[in-house]
Amino acid sequence: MSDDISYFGIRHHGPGCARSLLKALEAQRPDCVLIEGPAGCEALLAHLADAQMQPPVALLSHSVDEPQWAVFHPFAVFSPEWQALRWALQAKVPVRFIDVSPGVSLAWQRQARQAAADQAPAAPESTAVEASNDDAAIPCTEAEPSAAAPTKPQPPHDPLDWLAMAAGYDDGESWWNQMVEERCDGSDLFAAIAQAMTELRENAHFTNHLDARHEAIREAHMRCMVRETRQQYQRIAVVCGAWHVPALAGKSTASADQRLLKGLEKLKAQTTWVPWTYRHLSLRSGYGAGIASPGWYEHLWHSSDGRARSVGWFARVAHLLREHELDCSSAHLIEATRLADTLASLRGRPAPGLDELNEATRCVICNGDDMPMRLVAAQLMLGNALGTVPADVPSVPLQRDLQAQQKRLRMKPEALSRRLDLDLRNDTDLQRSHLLHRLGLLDIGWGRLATLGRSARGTFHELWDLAWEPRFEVDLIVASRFGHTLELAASTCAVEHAHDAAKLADVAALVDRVLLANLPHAIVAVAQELEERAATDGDPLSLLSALPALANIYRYGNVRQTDGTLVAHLFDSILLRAGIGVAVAVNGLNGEAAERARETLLAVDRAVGLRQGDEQTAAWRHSLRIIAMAENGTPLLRGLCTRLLLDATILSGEEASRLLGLNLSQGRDALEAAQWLDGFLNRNATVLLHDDALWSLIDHWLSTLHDEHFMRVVPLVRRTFAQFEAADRRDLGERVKRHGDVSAEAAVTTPWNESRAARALPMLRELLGMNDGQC
Amino acid sequence: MSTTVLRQHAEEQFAEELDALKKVDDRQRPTHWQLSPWAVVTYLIGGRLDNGFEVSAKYIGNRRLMEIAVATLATDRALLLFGVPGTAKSWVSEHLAAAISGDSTLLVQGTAGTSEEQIRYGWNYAELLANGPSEKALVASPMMRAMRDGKLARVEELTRIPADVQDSLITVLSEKTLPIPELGAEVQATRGFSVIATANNRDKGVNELSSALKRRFNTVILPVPASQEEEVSIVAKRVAELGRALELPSEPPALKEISRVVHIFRELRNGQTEDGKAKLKSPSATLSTAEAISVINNGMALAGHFGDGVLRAADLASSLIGAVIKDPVQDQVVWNEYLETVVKERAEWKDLYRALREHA
Repeated sequence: MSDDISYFGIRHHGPGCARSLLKALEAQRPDCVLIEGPAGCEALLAHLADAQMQPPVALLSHSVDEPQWAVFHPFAVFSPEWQALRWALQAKVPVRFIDVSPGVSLAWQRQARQAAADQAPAAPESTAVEASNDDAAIPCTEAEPSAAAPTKPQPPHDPLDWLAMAAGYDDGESWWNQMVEERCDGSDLFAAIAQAMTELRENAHFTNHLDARHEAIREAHMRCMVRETRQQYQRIAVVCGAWHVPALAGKSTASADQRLLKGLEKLKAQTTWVPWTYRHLSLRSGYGAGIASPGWYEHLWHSSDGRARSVGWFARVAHLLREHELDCSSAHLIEATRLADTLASLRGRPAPGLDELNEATRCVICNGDDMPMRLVAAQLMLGNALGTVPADVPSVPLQRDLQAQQKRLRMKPEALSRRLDLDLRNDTDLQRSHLLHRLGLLDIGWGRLATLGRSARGTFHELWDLAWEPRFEVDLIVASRFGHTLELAASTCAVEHAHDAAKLADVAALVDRVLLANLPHAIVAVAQELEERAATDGDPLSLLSALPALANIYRYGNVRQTDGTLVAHLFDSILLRAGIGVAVAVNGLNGEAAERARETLLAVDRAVGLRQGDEQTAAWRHSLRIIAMAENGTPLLRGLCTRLLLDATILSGEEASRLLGLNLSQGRDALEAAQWLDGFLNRNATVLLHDDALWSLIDHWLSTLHDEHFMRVVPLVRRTFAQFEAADRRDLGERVKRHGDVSAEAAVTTPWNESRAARALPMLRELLGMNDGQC
Repeated sequence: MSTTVLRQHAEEQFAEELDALKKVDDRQRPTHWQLSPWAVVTYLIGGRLDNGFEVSAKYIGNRRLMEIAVATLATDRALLLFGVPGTAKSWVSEHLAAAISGDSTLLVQGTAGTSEEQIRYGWNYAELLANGPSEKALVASPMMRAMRDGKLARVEELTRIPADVQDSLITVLSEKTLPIPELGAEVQATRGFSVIATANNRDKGVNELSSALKRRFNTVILPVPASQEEEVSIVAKRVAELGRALELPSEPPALKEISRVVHIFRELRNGQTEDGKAKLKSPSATLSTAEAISVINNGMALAGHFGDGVLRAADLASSLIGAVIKDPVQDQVVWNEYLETVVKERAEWKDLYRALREHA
């Protein structure tokens, strides 16, 4: 039985704590190190000796039966726990993890999710959305939901904020950085932390009973482990979150602790090492370990001296900026260092912290500009480090998840190509379709979807060609960085694609794919992305180009039991925005651009038809009218819009012929008139065939053109007419013939022999190629 | 004297506060500084001194920015205050000079016609012709006087000064000396000398600073107010002051209208709605706090002279639209979009929507 136990209260991932901890361990030279980590995972520590093992890495524990439940214990090079592990490895001292086993954390996670689901059964969708930012509810989460604060259980407000406020700081984060992480001497640190935490714990109140109970159980578990260890070892070092120190070091009885630990629910868990990133360590990601600037912490860890620290940081900033071709001279660095020092002394701090360094960088090096600072934030403060793990650690959960689903849906991976006909009304087939679409989002092309025939839109069938390739295994491991279940990985991947997509239409297409893959989390995010881009996209035509995809989803989505209202809302808001600006955007387009705009407008007109909303249709027609009536607009599009309005019976026949007359009148440039006509006829001759007034107007226009004009216009008009269906052209020819007769009669002035002239007609027709009706 | 001048210098108007600060200020002062850096920041941001004296806030906003500005001057670097029009650049510069040097009058106003003499020195030609070049014939510029006395010189609208004239500042800022070749002499800056320049970052193109000159300045960008409450309080305060000065016949406007105008300005400026739910396009207009003040003033004048004396949505509409739409084509699109997607949706803004539609 030993009495030499030291409790080292640390902040997870605190470099200052890590440094002090190493010194303290050297001084104490314990013969056993206890670390707040998942109990029972000590076997995996053998991998630590491998040279391939480079932090940041994480211990990933997931439920064997339901892989959607998983907890992570991340380690960075500057994490006190990691340094303690390395120290123990070198000193050949045994290490034990003393927190509850992963199975218990997983069970808690499942309970929390269920509780959340029970609370809001009426609106499950919205809960899920909100929860996506919340550690407790997203299926894959960090081991310590409250690690966002340096101390574990997070009472309503960060308890450190209270201490920080007392010390006159804005928030707990900067106070702790200043007081603990950024200081260079570490003597008495742990005693001081323990004292502060004792004070805090007396005043902290938990609101969430579940949390408080879990905390109590975890601490009881840790105490039990400590007691057990005391039987065997002499000098023991306990490394745990600062918050727990008072509870572990304080008075307690073994029997009370045992009572708490009895009958805990446990899931069967499996644990492995996975590579981790600094991005995942930061606040900004769903798995947040709660540190704002991992890159800065790493810098702190590597540079102990205050002066060298700020100079070294500025040197890294300079290097980064030069890499991106931004000016940064040594003189800048000198001035920046001076300003940072002055700022620190003005604020009464011994050495500049990250705030001062950033302010000096912005003000001296970046000339107050925010853009280079964003680079600094992303590349240096956050950092893009990616850890590695040895090859012989167990396989990733994403692979196992896919295998489980393949088994459940009876889809065996086969190298030989095989055709699969899915009937989407059938639940199993629908799920198969989801699986294949999800893999597709991850760029794992197991199945290729045929788009024609029975597989076309609006049917209940999907035809897939399946062929498994060995490289998909590798792709799966690559994709596992997105998440450890197929659903999660595909969601994350889709959201990233949406962020990176170059064009608005691509995002719209992605909405379609995400809907097909049935990823409710991603749908919201991608739709949000689409909405945001739509709001800032300056080009109404590119906005409009997103509409056809959305209309398709809206119209045919119910085949796949997807929710149309979300899409309808998006469609409406984009249509509204685009409709306001489109009239300006289509002004003065040249030939090619006008052609493209025509295609877009036609597609949108069809899309609005699919939407079948009165309000939307009215708004769209209003926009069309504005384009059609714009005096200086592009003639082709004005003609087109006039035609669309006429087809929609918004314009009366008389109105249309008035416009036709106006646009084809003498005063117009003949070329513009021809373009207008091209747009108006819209590759479709019916209007000419059935409306005498229009017919005669065009006839009149064409026959009154001057020679020179006529020669310029003829190719255009010919091209317009060439796009009609053959049958239409024949009818038109017939009509010309009839009318031609009429005008010929009128024109006859000199008497001549009808019958003789008629004899030459068949030959003339032959010569002119008019016998098939084409004129 | 105080009753006859239209506008007093900062060091006169706030003499009492400066004195009170001087009395309690026992921190280290850089040479020739009237106050310690800490006291200067307190003077700008406002606060209660230990002896209970209340210092009014000159700059409403981020304390850190003022700390950077003061720290810059304490390292004898020049300070460049950058910002869109109406973000209190000149105001901050004047108060910094008043608090640090006790003198805010060493001012060079930058215009397209600013010449090198105004930055270096000129000659008293009568004296020059009569007695030849001598110290007596020299007319010192504010810059030269500031160097001699170890005070702060101010340059307003730096980017409006022609590039060749701007360059004459480089020697002053790096060598801290001003040669006078005609006399074979020079003026060396004494400790405490520095330069505060202001520039408008919408005018970058007029005479953009050379990188050599830029490098000699620490740049602090003064942002538009951070929160709606802050901006509403600035606008309400200034509108009340101006309304009194101009003797507008209408009642002081209800906070409701001010806050709606500020709301619209902020949303269009930030490119998203205040609830953060929807993105918006931003028009080309600056939409500064100063412009919000003028929109309200305009509305008050309309209400007072042509309406019933109470500021209503209709009185605001025309000047509001005028402030937003600076480019008749692009801004019109942005504005219509905003009107239809945001203003229309807000039930309590029905009157405003109708008024704006009528003017559109």
